[in-house]
Amino acid sequence: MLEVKDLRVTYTSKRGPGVTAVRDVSFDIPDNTFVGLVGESGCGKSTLGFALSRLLDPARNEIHGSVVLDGQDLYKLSDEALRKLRWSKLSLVLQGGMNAFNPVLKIKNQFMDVMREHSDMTKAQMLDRISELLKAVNLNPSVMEAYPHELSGGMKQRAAIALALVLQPRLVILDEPTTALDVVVQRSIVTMLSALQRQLGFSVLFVSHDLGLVLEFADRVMVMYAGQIVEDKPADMLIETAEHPYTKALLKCYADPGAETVTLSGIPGSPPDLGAAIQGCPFAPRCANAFADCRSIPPAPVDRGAGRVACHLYRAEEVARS
Amino acid sequence: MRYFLRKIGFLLLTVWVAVTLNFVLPRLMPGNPAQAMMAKFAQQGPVSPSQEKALELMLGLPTGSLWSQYWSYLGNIVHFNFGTSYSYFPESVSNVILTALPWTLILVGIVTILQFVVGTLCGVYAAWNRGKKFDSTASVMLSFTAAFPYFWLALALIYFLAYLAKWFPISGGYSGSLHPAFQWSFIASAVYHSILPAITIFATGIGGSLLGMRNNMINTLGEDYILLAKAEGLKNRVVALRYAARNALLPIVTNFAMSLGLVVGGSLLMETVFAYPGMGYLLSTAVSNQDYPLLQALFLCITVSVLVANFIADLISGLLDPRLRRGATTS
Repeated sequence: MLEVKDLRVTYTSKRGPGVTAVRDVSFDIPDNTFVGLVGESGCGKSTLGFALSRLLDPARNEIHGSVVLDGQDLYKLSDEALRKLRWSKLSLVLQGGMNAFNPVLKIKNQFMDVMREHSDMTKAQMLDRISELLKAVNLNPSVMEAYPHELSGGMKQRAAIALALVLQPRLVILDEPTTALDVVVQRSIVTMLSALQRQLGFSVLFVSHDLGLVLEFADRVMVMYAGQIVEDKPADMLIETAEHPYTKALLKCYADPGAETVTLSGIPGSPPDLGAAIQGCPFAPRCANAFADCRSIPPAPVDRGAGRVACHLYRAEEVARS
Repeated sequence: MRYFLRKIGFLLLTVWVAVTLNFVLPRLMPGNPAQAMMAKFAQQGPVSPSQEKALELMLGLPTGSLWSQYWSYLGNIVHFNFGTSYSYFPESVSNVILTALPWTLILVGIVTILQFVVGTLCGVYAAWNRGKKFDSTASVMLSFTAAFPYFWLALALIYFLAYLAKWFPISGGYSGSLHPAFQWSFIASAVYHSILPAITIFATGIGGSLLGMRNNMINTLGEDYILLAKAEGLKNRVVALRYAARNALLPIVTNFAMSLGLVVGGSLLMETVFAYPGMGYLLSTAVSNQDYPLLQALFLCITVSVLVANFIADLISGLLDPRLRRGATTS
């Protein structure tokens, strides 16, 4: 349904070469799939999310590659055609949801603004739809009469998810939707989101830095490092056979609370500067398994069963040698 | 409703304080107007006690205790009775003010509103198209004109457009050959005389409105809900006005109401430079002639209208911003 090919985003700057936050990323999102996109802060995951919805300011960014949603390349559409397609096919939930609502309009009016723009519903139909959705996200329908400041952070985020579903989109991009919430609320919201996703059959791109949370709910997980997707696998396969040294290292940062003995370890070093060109594999300086090629040749993604890994360790000849 | 009642209560309290201060302050000053006038007359020759007595009676100097003076003062205010003006003797103060008020209200009032509306709309447009042609020319040019000293611009315009080019009259509110009346010739003359003052007030004020709105709007445009409104595929007009401008306007409403309140005080510089027959001109006449009753009444008018304007600003802000309403009911 969504096909991303060689997407590259550079934040241009008057003073320097600019920061390339997304580096030739390609992936697909099929129908009815919960995809997690994880990576540490500054790896370009939010930029990728915004680039998919063509929300980055063209005056300050250079974007190459294609984003094809249901056969239409979003970067080839006119502004007006894109505006009509927005929200009815592709919707967005922002970080924390705290400021996602206009503070001076009632929740229901913000829902109705979107519905009026993209559908011919009558007012009664719209109100029905709003209360139906608010119930679906476990909110009292009376919330529609509230102003945003009258809701708690968790309620706002639920309302933001309801808003994202109002036109039955094909794909919902969630950018760190639960980061500002405590773990209990966070969990209940993601559980609800995942249930709705299965029930209504839309696809989710869940952008998060929380690998543990994503592994639990996602069908597929993409691991991003320094603007590139280094590993892309079904979630259960990733837990068992993580292959990229970065993913392995990330997994070691989590512990199973039920385990007898727990070993935790961090990843030494820090991610590379995205403002500069990267020679070879971006993870090489921090990688325990790096060899000569890693520092000079950028690794191309290699198919590994149901997934893909961008690492020289899994090149055909390396695998054959071992 | 509670918000409204609270604001009304606060308005009444502040008006009372202003009225009382207006009563107390002149009484703390040494001497009285009759003595001041006597001193002037005394320079021309001796003044007899009976003359002094007559003057005191004419000016209506206070008698009785301070308390009874205060009550009769309050009673007079309720009846708009502010006494007799010294400089426009024997006109009553309220008459003098009523003659000047329409001039100021119409000219300064209309121009202030116009300047705010045009400036704010241009500010919205400039912020929405930030860095484009309109923004870069208008913002730079208007911050330049906004920095002009008002009297300098007014004098320059009078010199070039009125004195040299003779396109506009040099001063006054209407042609000296006419008498105020509801006639076309008079209204046409008044409009003709108001063009140059209007241009000067407009030109010096619009920069502030534009830049203020532009900056607020640019801040608002960075908010998440604007990004989300764009992602929702709402029309640009809706995002710019209903989502961005409406929020950016909130802090500006108070400023605007303040400047509307100050309209009643007239535009002192404008009316002095153009000898325009409004409240500002009256104020400067009253000061230079030590016309206490007129001064006192003018101060009262200005204070009360600023307070009322603030009250209205509070009400409008309450309507525009639900967060304020809630703050008032829970506290």
